[in-house]
Amino acid sequence: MYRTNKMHSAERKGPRFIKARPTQMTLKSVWQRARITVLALGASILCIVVLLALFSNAFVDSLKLFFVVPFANVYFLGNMLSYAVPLMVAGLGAAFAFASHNFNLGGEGQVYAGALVATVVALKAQGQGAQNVLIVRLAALFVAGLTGGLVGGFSGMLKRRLKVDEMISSFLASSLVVFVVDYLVAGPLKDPNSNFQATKTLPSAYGFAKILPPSELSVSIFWALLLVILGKLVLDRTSFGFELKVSGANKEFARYAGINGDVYSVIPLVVSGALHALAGGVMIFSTYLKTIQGFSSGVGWDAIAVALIANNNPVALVPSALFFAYLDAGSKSAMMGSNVSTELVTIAQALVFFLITATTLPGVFGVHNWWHWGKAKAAQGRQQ
Amino acid sequence: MNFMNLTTILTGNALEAMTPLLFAAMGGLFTELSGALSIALEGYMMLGAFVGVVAAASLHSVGAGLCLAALASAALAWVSAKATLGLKANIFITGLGTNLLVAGLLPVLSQHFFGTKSVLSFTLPTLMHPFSCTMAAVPFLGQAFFSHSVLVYVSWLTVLAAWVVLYKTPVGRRIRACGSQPEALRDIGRKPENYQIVAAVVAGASSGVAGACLSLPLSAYVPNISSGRGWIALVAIYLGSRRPGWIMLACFIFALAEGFSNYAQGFLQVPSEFVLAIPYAASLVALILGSLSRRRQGDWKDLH
Amino acid sequence: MQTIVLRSISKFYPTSGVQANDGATLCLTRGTIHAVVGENGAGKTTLMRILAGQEHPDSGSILIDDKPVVFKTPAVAGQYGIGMVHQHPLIIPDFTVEQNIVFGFEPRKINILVDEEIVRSKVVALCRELGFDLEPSAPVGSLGAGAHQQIEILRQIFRNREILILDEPTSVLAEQEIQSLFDVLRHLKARGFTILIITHKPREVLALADQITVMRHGKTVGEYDAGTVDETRLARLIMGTNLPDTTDSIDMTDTIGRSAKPEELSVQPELLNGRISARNFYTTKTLVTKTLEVDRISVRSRHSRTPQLEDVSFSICRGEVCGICALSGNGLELMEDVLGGFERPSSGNLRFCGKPYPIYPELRQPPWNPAGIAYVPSDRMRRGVCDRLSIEENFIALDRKRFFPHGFANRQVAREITQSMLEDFGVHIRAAGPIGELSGGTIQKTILARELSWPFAPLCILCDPSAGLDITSTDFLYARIAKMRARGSAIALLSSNLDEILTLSDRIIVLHRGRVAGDLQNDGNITKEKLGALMLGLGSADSSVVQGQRMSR
Repeated sequence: MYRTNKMHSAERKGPRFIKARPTQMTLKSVWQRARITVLALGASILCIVVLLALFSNAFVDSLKLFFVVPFANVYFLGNMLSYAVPLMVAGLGAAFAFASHNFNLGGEGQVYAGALVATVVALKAQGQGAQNVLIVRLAALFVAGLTGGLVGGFSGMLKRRLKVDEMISSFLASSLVVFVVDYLVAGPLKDPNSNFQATKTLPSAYGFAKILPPSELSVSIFWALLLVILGKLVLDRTSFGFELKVSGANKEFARYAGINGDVYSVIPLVVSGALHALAGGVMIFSTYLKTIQGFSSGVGWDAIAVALIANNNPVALVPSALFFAYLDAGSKSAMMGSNVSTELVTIAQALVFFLITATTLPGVFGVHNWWHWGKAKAAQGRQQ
Repeated sequence: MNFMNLTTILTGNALEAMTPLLFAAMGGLFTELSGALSIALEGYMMLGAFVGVVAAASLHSVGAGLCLAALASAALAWVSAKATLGLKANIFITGLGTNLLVAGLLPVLSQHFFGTKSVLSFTLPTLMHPFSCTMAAVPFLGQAFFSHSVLVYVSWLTVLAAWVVLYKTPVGRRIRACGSQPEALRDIGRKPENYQIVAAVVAGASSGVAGACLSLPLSAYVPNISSGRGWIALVAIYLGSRRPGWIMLACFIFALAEGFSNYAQGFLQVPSEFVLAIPYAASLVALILGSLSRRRQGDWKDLH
Repeated sequence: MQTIVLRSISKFYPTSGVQANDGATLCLTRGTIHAVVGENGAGKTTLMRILAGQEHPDSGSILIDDKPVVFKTPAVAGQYGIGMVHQHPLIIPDFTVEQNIVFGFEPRKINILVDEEIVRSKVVALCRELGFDLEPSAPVGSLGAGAHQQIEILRQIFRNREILILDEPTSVLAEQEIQSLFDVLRHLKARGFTILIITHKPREVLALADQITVMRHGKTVGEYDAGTVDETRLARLIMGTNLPDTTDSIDMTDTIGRSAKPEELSVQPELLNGRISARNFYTTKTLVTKTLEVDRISVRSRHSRTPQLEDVSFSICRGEVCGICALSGNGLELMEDVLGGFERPSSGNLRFCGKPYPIYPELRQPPWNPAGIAYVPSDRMRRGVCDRLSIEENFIALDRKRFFPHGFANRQVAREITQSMLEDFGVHIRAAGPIGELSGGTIQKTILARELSWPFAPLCILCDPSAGLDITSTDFLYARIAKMRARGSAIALLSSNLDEILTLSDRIIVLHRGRVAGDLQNDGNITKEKLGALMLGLGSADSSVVQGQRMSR
């Protein structure tokens, strides 16, 4: 063959910020993938048990508080399901970015900014005396989504025009956004009558209808499910989703096939940002009705974990979000009932991050597939 | 405040602020050159800051604190690298995982051992200031260059050491080859993975020391004390074109920006959140400017 | 007797399903130059990689001075003095010449630092001895392929490896460089080195070697002393007697204008002196409408050092096959990129059926469209398929408009169409499976099925289409090309396989250093030597002079 692949690497001049991005993010075989997922989830549960054993002063009680109480009554169950809602929406955003091989690390800032923007729009509408609650919500969420899309699109444009790595630029941009929102919430937009660093509270009529009182669970969960199904439809069945996936998987082939790859450097990040911001707005309207400083901290990282577990499959986001909501609910109840702190879940989450992108399973004592090993040994024994 | 005084103060502050950045950036440089960039520098720094003060307080020795900080972060880096290479996992995701691990572990440990998740204050022996007696009296230069703690000077030596190791020793050359032509290592019978692990451990140790440099002078551990310096170090590596000398310059510029913002806070009544945001803003701006100056009309071969 | 023997080496690659070596043997005497010859895919490189310790044989043994040895790593083979000069040298881009040469075995002072003076003196001495004109402190990035090869040779000599294996060393060299390389090799032999050279060019072998091992299909045909064979016999030994038997598999009943009798189409290419001609292969004449016009294009590739294209002009008519050939690094890759729509020429004009040629961001139409372009890339694995997708998705990707009517996927239609295209080309696989599971050869056939199925595209860019295909598939491919040509497709055939070019092309264009070195009609008088000379920059670029000559032995 006259073409030598080595020429490509020899010809690249100048440092690229993050070289040779490892492209292997998913396994080819469904069966292997399932094994890795079970391993990661199982390890995270085990990790929580171990941490509780180490740090809690009432081990059995805290076990019960963590794992059982979230299902104990309607209040806890409902709240758990309620936290799954923003995880689903933001997780869809993270999945969209990953499906096109972009790393959106700016989720935290996008969620937070979306929440604030939604609050501000709704407050303005309240100030104008708007009556139609539905319109107010829609407008607020729309503007929030727009804001998130702009923040995401900023990283996207930097990547397209200047080849700035979107991982770093999205992280830095969103950190800035967090500081800006922090300042606004504690300063110009602070509610003068409250002791908290928070904005004014929206009237409860603006919130989504609650479906499982006394918990926070609202109709937003149905909207989230709808969004997830829509996401699946777009990714799997439309030409847009197809082109997005192809240009993420193999840019050269995308160009060969006639897909305009530049567009897909930007649009997935815009969509991802918009969805994260939407998640923030949904949090406002379903639970909080005001923006408290730091209230959404952790949602962005959770969303990445949710998308990784779901392997970027929108439908799998639902059980994945439920799993993380379960962990979060468990940690909150354990915190209330004993001396355990909520950061345990962060550690378990870190374990998930470590294991979920594995492409080979760790062998036990050097044997990767005990089934095959056993058969081979049996065959050997029979021969002798 | 006249101009010379201002310059002196700013330079002095910048040189102090540059120290953790230098340590972290030099460590990160090794991983970047070995082809397995570690984005967990932030996590290693936090761990180093925590372990540094805690160890120094318990053992009544600043040196012990530094050593244990380096050791702890190096151990974490080793585990992380081994896991990533053994599982053939995505190194950026595991890097994020490491950051999360430290972010979750430290409050838990802090709560468990000290009963609080907020600032931990200790009494520590003061850091050595090797030149302050003799040279600090020199006007302007003395205050700017010679009044610092020993850590600052060690960080400069680290840059030199990194340069020597990478360019003058066989090990360093092999690490550099690992990133651009791993087949050449296999050709001489070595595994590239081993060199990537070595680079990761170096990054861990170095960033651990960087973290200790933040907390030891304060004799206290403040949650989130690193506030993004690990990421700034990554940007510095990029801006410095992966060469130790230029990285030092980039770190100095960042440190100047930080020093100036600290100064401005008292002066210009800037809200504290904005001051905290300056490092992130500066690195974003620097990233954009650096890419602008490097911009080439991309041809299709520049695809990631 | 000082010998190294490879005995009954077999090696099978499960991922590509290829039996690379099948009981191959080699007997090497120290202090000689030994050539291993064979066609592409004969198993030469695999055998040498096994000798160099880079691969492990499935069966067979290596004996050094009658003692069996096992090479676990290349380093172990190195200890026995065996070193490999790779076809694509393992050059570390950021280092200088001397740093590359001494890599891994740097002399040290104080045990940790590299002793630069010793390095410099040794490198300078080596360069002087072998007559290499290398500047030790020069960064390697600015040097060409010939210099890279010299660095690799020096590297192996520096490591005291006395048995050097050179893998296709002349493939990237110009004529003068080849001669100086041969001088170096003879000098090394005089110094006591043993040289193993892998090549597929008989003439070079005879100029240089003392002993010759001929390989075919993974087996050793025989071992001969250089004095006992001449070029003719060598060519026969290399090619063997497997002429393609195409009488059964071609259905030419729909050839335009006439129903072809099978005998007219049986190909008996004369392999002596590589005198194969499209005149024997086709039965129809070409028509005159121009499908592709390349008008004085130049390409300045910003990053690459390889020669860019300069002032290239040619055109391809309907129903014409135009073969384009060149040595590696002489512009063929860029030509492919331009025609494939990846690289925009910095000056000049490209026209497709009179309209501007679709180069990114204008996108080419899929091959089954009336204004489509079929493009079989040479880097098939990276450019031709996406291994994350299933087989049918690889087909869908080319024509989203058709398979996503109104924006939504029509999987059923896609599957049926894909299946029928695959059947048409004789690829019997399920369309829904993931493409990652297929073997390399099957993937290539899939790509060919996708690009070369009915309805045929008016313009077809084929790059090394038969590389990696077995004989039957190659026959099928050639028959398909003939069919497309008869139907009026214009075909650009970019290949380094001169036999293929000579068999299929109506016209042949030779590129040398990015310029057109020859534009010849393939009328039966062109030989492989003639093309080789043009590819190396010798011989006249004036096509009329070349055409008029009668080539005789």
